[in-house]
Amino acid sequence: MPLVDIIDRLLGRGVVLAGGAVISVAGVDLIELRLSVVLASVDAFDRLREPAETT
Amino acid sequence: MTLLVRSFVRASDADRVGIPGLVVVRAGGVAAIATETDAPPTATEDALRAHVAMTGAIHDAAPSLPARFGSIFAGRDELAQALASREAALLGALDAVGDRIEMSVTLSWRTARAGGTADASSGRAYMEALGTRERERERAEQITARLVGELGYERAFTRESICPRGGVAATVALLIPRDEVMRVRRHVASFRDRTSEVMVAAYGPLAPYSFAS
Repeated sequence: MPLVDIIDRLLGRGVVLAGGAVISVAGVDLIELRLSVVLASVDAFDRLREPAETT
Repeated sequence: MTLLVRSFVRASDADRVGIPGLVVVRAGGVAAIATETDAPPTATEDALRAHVAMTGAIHDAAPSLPARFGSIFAGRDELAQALASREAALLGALDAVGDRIEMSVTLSWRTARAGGTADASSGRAYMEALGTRERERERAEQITARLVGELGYERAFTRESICPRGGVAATVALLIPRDEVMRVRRHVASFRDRTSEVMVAAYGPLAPYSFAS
């Protein structure tokens, strides 16, 4: 499954409990998802720039 | 002990998830399936794919709702408290999803389309670009509606995203019975052969991310 679709699902969908969630980038606690702010690692975003996969 | 939540299941199903290294936290009729972590997770490709694999394995063992990646709690007590506050909603969502799995279908344009940002070199160019994008969107909606109509699943079990990014006409999430995975794959392959405008690919089965909230 293309990484971009995985990122869409894992960072934008799924259950979030009342406690919110925290994702770190480069080892720094960065985000509370309840603020609707989502970031992915630089590594993941770099791969989004690669040519789209085709069947 | 910091816990990274992977999925949610009915408390009565938690023992069916016999995957080593997982931590089970119960609250009333629901349970969270988690792994211990030293720090908040980094969203690397490996970590994301590992989460997909783990939530898939849990969903194979018992009906579940996958957690959004990065859901961490300071310990069992904090997680149990959060679970208890959402028990009814989680049980309702588990009932709605049942034992179904999610399939993801991506429809990609075979030839390059306008997409992207509108041409702002002049007012006329800008309006023409907007019009092109709107026609592209309308065509994407028509193609997607045809595919979804042919597949025949209830609207409640489909989620569509039209022109979500450059080069992609649409993505469709389907919540289907496990024994219909091959039917969907065959139909997607047939649709691809009958459609000149888009390439169509099906992925899954997955845990029901698009239907979990």
